[in-house]
Amino acid sequence: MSALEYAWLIPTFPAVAFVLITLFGSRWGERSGIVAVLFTALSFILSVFVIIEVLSGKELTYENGITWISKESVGFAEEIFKFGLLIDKLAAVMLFVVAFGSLIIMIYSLGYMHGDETVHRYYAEMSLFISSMLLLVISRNILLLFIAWELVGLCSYLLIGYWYKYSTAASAAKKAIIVTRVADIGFMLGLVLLYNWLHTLDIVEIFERAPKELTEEQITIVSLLLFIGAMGKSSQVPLHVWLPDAMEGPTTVSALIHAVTMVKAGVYMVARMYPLYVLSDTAMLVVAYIGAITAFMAASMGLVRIDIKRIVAYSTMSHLGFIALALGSGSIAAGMYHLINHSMFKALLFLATGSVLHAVHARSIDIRKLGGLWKKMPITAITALVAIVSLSGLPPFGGFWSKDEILAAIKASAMHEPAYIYLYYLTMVTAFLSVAYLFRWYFIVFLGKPKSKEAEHAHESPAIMTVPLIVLAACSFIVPTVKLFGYDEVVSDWVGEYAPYHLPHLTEDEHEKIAVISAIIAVISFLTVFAVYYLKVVSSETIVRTFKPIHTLVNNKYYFDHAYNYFAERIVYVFSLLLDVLERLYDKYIVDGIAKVTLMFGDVIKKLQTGKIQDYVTLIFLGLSVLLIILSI
Amino acid sequence: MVGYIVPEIIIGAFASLIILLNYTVTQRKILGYLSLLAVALAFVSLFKLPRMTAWGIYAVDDFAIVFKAVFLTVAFLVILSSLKDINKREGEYYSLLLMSLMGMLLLASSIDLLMLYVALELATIPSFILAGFFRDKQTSEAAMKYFVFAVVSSGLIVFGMSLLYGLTGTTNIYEMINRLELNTVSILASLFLVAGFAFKMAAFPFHAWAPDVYQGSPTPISAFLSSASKKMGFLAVLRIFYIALSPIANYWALAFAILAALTMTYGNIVALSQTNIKRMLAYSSIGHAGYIIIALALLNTKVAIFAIAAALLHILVHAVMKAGAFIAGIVAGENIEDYKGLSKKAPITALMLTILLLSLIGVPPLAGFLSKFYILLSAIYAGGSVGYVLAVLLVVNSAISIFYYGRIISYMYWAKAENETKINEPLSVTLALIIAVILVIVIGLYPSEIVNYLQKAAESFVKGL
Repeated sequence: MSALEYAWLIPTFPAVAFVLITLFGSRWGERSGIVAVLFTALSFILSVFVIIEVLSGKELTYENGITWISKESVGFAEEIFKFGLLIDKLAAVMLFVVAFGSLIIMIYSLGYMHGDETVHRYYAEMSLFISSMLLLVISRNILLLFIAWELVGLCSYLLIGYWYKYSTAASAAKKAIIVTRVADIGFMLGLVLLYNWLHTLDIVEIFERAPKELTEEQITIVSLLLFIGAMGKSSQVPLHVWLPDAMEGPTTVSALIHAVTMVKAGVYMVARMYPLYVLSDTAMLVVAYIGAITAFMAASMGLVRIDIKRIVAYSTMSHLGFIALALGSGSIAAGMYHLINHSMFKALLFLATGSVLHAVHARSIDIRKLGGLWKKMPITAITALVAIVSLSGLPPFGGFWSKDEILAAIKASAMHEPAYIYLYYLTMVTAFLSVAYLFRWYFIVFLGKPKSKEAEHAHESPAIMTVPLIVLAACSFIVPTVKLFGYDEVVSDWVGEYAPYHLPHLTEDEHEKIAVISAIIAVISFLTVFAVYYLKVVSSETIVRTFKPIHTLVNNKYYFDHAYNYFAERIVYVFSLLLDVLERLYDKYIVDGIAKVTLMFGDVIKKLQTGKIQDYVTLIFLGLSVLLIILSI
Repeated sequence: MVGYIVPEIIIGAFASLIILLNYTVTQRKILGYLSLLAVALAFVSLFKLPRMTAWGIYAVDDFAIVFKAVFLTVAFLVILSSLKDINKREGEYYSLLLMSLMGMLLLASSIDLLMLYVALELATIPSFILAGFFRDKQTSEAAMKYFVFAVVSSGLIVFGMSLLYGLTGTTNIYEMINRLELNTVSILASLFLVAGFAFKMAAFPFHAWAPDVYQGSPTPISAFLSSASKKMGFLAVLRIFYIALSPIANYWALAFAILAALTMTYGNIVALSQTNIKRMLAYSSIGHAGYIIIALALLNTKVAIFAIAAALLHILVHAVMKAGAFIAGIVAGENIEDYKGLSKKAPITALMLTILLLSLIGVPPLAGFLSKFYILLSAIYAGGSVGYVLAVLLVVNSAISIFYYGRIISYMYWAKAENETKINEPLSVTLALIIAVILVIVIGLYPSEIVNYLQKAAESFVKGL
């Protein structure tokens, strides 16, 4: 018996939980959480078996899909709708990460969501969310992937707006769905073009045929269109605006969105379609640039925020930028490595944040009101420190190694494409900022003195929440060691089967040099923050005053939201008013008109039906005669 | 060896048995169950039928099997839904139903004009009595109309057939193909046959009996007439026209194209303004006949086999959907007002009817979508002005049909009823509805196997055994 044959059950389990909770949730109340956890656990266990089997060399692409309308049955038609699953090493690794992260977050939810009134709705939507993400990971058909992709988007909308009573939550949910929908247009166009050129949406078939049948321009266009979709999902500049607002949902939702589902879907899709991307240097360069810019902008914005969750959100955005940058620099191994690292640390950091918010009974809070939580919540404080140290890329934690890999990949790419070298320097700056904003966050929240009543009365969260924190913190030490077991080959070798691809490599010397430089930068950055926020050598206000114009720019989030609002209010809205007038006229005269005429016509010819058999028989012969006349002409 | 007519023998034997038992059995319910058993046995025997031709007049090919399966399925649903409705003169009712069914089964295998005509009459004559079964004024009038119409169309058919015999000297359709020549008389003969069978298919302008008769007949019989009896017309046309009359295909195909365009447009538009559900379903049935006739109009093109498979699929799917929709009327009532608030009064029936109506509209992934899709596909592949015009009309008509089907759904779920007392939903009727719904869903989800088989069936009957 092979676990792979049953892999289709992995997304099915949470889907079943979704159905069950939807049907019986109102009766079960909080107990629906246990159902959700159980089904997620089943998915996780199965994904463990799957990854063991895949890593033991059973390279298996699962081709037994469901065919809805088969090629044979349509005769001479070209089209087939075939939904298959593909579980190779990349998918297996991702599957494991998603299932594990989801399970931990679901267990944690049992404590965090305790006492919420409509908690069954939460568990139902979370289950569907997890199910769609798992489906996305193992889709073999890009259309199926797109369906899962949209489901992920839908669930994120539902969950961000979970507390829809708050208008901010409702509008944040709308923002998320609108922005990602705009991006999805790109994805869809890419899909349509791919189909138009290759007449297939099967991922493996695309990999096999694209290098032979498509020109480089075509591949560039398709890859970039698909990447637009990924930019929306993975919140890359300029489609990033929804992510910070998405913090309006419960913290566990943010954790799920940031660590394993929504935002990872975008970069995972790029990794999934990697054999396509490596064929186009232009596409790779664009991906790398967008990623680097996102990483930098997000890090700088994180430095000036004051909301506890938004800072963490900007950190996610920045790291997604790093992942895209790694993928764009030609190293799928570094990208996926950073993705996995980030999943663990970000889940940990969010859950720790959730623990803080749970302690102060708030949906989110200004960090300046906190402080001194170190003594009151030791477990939370220590686990958060683990997450921070690793995320910020201080040696010798996982984050440092993955960042190092990324820098090395950029440097290696720069050897044959000089444009990459600017990214190298930009990333060094970003690395400096990432240490700074995270430790600023940590120092203000956990050290110093409590600055509000809530912070004074805070106390450690229950075990159901702290145990997942400890587990994740432990994993943060284990995960980086995957590098020792031939990880690079696992996630990168399959690309070479379809396209000419080599991991970018540097000499040992060069590599060491990069490691040393980035370590030094990180340490300097740490010391700076330590000086400002702990020793208080210079007050932060003085720094703000010194760099006033830059601060204003960054504090206003580079005016992206302003620009979008201006565009929406002044241009789109006016245009839509105009269309509205036309639409009303069209509706009144054309749509209703046709309906009225058709109905009238129906009433008139109904009169043919006299009920008299004589008329009917006459009609027969009339019809026969008319046919005769027509045919004889 | 009579292995090839086992289903007919089973049905015939049970029909006689039921008539006999009618005068001896006191537990009269048993008659209904016996006829169900007969149909079920006959259905099972289909799987074991040998493929062969007998005496040059009777062929058991995959094409015949498909139609036999359709007729038996519909008969099963109709008998199941009659169990509650018919409580007097059961013996008469069920044995007549089985007799008619036997005629249909024989018709499915007929490859000789004489055999075909006799089978057609055997299937039709019992249905006159069934249409007037309640003996009140309304049903008697319906039965009378039906009778007169059937006789006129029989006359046309026989006239057409006799001309063909005169021209070719044979009644076997596979022999006729080589002897038929293109001349005025052969075209005239084909037109008489078109008109005669158009009556069976209820195609405009030969449709006028259908709404009156469906409205007047007992509801299960309306289902039987629209789902089984009507399909005989398509069966006979496919056999006779595509095989025997293929030398003059261009002429009658044009006639069918005209009929298809008129029939679907007329049926759907008039259905808009109906307030009696049975009449509305009758017109919708005329509309759907139009869709199937599209396939007949494509028989002279290169996609003929595919068109036949599409037509077979729609015949099968429409039979199930329409039978189900009529059967729901047994519980719900005839007037559109009766459907207000049905979701409260009879929730299961309302849900099942909703699924069936959605399928009739052609909502994916239900079967109704697929069969329409295949017909559309064949029209587009056939191309040419005829193909494209018919394809466009099919789409436009589907859009029109959403209105009257959707109205029932909205009445059931969103309109308030005057009194919301529960209606009794008899188990047998519910069961029939559930079977229909399951078929609609399963065919919708897994069409490939069925369509492949239908294509095989289409090929089998072209080649002849």
